[in-house]
Amino acid sequence: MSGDNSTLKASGECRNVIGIWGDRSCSELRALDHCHNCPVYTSLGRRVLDQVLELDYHNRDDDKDTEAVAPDQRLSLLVLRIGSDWLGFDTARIREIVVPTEPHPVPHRLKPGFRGLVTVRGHIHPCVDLGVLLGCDSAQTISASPRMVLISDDSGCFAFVADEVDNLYVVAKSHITAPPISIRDATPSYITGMVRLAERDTAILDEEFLLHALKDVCQ
Amino acid sequence: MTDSSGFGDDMMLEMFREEAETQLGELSDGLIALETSDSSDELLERLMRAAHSMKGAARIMGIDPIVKLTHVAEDIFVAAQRAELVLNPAIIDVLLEMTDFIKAFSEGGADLEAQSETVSSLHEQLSKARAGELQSESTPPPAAAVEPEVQNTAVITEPPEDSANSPETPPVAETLEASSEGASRTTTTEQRTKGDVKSIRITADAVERLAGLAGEASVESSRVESIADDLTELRVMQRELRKSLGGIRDIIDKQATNPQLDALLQAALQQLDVCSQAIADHEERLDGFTRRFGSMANRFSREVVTGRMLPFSTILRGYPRLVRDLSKDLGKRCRLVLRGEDTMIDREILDRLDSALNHIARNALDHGIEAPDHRAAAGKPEEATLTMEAFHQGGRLRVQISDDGQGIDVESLRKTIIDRGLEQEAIAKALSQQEIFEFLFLPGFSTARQITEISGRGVGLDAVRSMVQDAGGSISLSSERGIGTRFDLELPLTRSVLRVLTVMIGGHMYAIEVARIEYATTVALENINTLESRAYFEHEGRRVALIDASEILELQDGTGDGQILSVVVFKDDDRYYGLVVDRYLNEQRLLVRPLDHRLGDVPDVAAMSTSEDGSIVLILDADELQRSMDSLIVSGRLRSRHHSGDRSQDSLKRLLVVDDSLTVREAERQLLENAGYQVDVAVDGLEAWSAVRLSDYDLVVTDVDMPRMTGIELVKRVRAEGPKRDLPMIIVSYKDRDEDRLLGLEAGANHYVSKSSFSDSDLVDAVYELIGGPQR
Repeated sequence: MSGDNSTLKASGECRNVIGIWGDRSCSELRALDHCHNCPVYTSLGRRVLDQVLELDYHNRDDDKDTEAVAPDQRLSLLVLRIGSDWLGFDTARIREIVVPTEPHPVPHRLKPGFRGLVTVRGHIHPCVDLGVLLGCDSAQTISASPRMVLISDDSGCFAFVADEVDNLYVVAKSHITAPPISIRDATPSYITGMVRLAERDTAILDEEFLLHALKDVCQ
Repeated sequence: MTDSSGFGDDMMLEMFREEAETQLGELSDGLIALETSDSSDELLERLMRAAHSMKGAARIMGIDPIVKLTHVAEDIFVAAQRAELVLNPAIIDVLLEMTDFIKAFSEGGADLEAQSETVSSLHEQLSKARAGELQSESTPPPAAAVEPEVQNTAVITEPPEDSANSPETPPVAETLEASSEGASRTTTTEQRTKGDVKSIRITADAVERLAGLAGEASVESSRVESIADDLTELRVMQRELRKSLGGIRDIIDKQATNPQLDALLQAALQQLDVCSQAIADHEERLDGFTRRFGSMANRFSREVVTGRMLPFSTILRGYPRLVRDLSKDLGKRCRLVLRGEDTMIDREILDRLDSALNHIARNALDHGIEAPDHRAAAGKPEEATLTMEAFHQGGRLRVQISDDGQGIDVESLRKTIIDRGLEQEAIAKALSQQEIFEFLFLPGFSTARQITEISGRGVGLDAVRSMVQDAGGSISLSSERGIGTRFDLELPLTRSVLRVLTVMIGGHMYAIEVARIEYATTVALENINTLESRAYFEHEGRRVALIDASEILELQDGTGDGQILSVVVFKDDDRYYGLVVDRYLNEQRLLVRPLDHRLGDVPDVAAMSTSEDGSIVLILDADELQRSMDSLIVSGRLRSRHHSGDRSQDSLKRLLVVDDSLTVREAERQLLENAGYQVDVAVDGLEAWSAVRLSDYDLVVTDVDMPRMTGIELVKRVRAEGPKRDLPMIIVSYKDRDEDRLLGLEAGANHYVSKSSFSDSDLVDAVYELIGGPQR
């Protein structure tokens, strides 16, 4: 048992297993009241700060071989899920990811894609329903950790709720393939291409067009 | 001389502009003040410093001509300070001319090379002035607020050293400084104080963000309160624990079994007391913190609001000059009196006020104030007085502009009303003076016989009234024949904070300005009657028509108490409307923000805000709401109300105009809208490409040369992959050569119009030819 604990402590995971965020079975806990007061926790914090980053840390989960690709041939994407669709957004457009709040409806605005106004840090932004706008399959909408994503252009931010936010990825533009015919023929289509990330087909969105549509749906 | 391209980067130029604006304002103010009063030391010092700073700024930017001019100007002020030179009106005129010249340059970035003649003539004039060779004309033109005695004493006391080689030695005389010293001192001291108010430029956006953060701070402070509540709860729990332990001790006492147990229990109870005390202490400290933090957050919000306020004097800067120049042009004499210059006014209101004041002042000078000989004949002083005054009264801002001119001729006005058929003769004759004046505010009603350059610029008093009303105020007019005219403006102190009643509608918060509400009440369901299928209730003998708020706003149904209705009552003339809401919350002051511009026009909503608890509040537009309620009651139209509006739009053909030039875009839009079409715009090919994929257009008008995607590319793209490949497209271009035309038509455009001709009907004709008239 003590052997188990020392491994746990070395990994720093003890706080989540036997510590204050775990089953609280740690024998130290009674004396210390909280993991915050524990030397293991403190040294863990130091370790995080002192950590030497691997040079290619940003490529860990990414599309393979991106280091060899010139920066202007790469694309940084935030990947998130709406319904059953995984979508990639240009990271440069993403402003903030927060816990969703209930939108305040706007009188006389009955468009299905428009949800109302939300406030984030004292700022008010229009909130849209991207699922409706993109025609995503909303069958799989049960979501454990929905997130509200703020996407911006020069006119300000728009908010929408994603059922799940996955991660940031860097992909080589050469790995992007054309969208399937069925999507290409649909009008309007917001998808410029597809890329395989974390064993999922991820659709890359046409930001320009999407933002235009967002403005349109708010009007 | 450095050419204009060598002026450094934009940032520098921007800073130069700001500096120039400040210094030139100082110069202009000071020079006007010189005319009205005598040259006091403080005033001259101020002018000298302004000229000096201006010179410094110009030198940094390498704008040699301005350095040259301001250098002489500085010399002039220095000489005047040493009493070597008296600044006569001729000199002041030249200095003002120089100020204007520099202003025009700094604002428009005029080409100084091209104006080198103006520069050298100005320089020559200034040098002459410096040398004391510039005398006032023998009969000076009647100028604003210029005292004749001062004008005639324009002389030099001593020949200045650096002009020793000037051919003429100026005569020696005495200045008037001693005689009017007292008076001028006071005015200049006042001006100094005002000049010392430091201001920095800050964008409206930054203020908005600060306001947002201030609101956030209040919200956070209220969250601390909930932690304090948790502590209180903890203390209650401990009390319970103490009770339980006390119970145990009682039992042990009775049985007296184990002294060790007894001692332990005693220790436990003591420890518990210590804990309780500690928690109580924490609670108290937290309480103090919450209070201080709360009041600080509150002060923060208030400061941000006051940060939007500026003194009245901010917009007054131009008026001494305006009055001086105008009265000179009109051959009149007028003195401008300003009062309440320190009155703080909201920036937004100040802006609107400026254009209103400008119009009224011009009007007064042009029509109100008589020529000096007329005034003399009427037994009035030749010099007229125009007074502008601002003060706070009863939580409102009052601005009065009065003149002692000829006043308004009520009878001739009455005659005009009858002649124009605006009112029947019998009725017109019975109208009171005040009612007659009301006609002056009607659009297109102008009594000016001819349109003059001074006041008849197509803007009438109706425009002034709407400016004032837009700012949430009112304007009234009083006048007495032969005595004068007074405009009285009443405005809110700020549009950024409103006193509102917050209500819940459809489960969300809305607010209505308290000033617009007649009263708020609750009505039991059994007291509601229906007449012709419309609900109403009676209150103090009046019938109040009831309208459901979520219905009129097209929202989800509310969650109001079924038995008792909460009603907000509005009054319009003699009609009463009751808006049924879920429930009222409270009265609060809200920091108003404009509705997100991306939402476009939202009927019945005036603005948005965040409430004390951080949630979004939409502020309803009481006027519009009243109109909506009225039309709902009169016509019985319900949810179809706004849809029907849409339908009439749908029946028009929809065009897309694409051009990267705002001017061209707007010109084309105007032209086509005037022809009856519904027109959207896009700023370049790429935006247009997005637009045509999203919306169904009947025709596209596009420019050729645009960033990101050209018109030719757009046409090709639509033809190749557009949702509607046969979409009629017209290219409008400056390029009028045959090969350009061919290129456009080959790409697939249906028409090629030369840009020079869209002012005539070519464009509209081309559109008509392709898709016919505007009706679907």
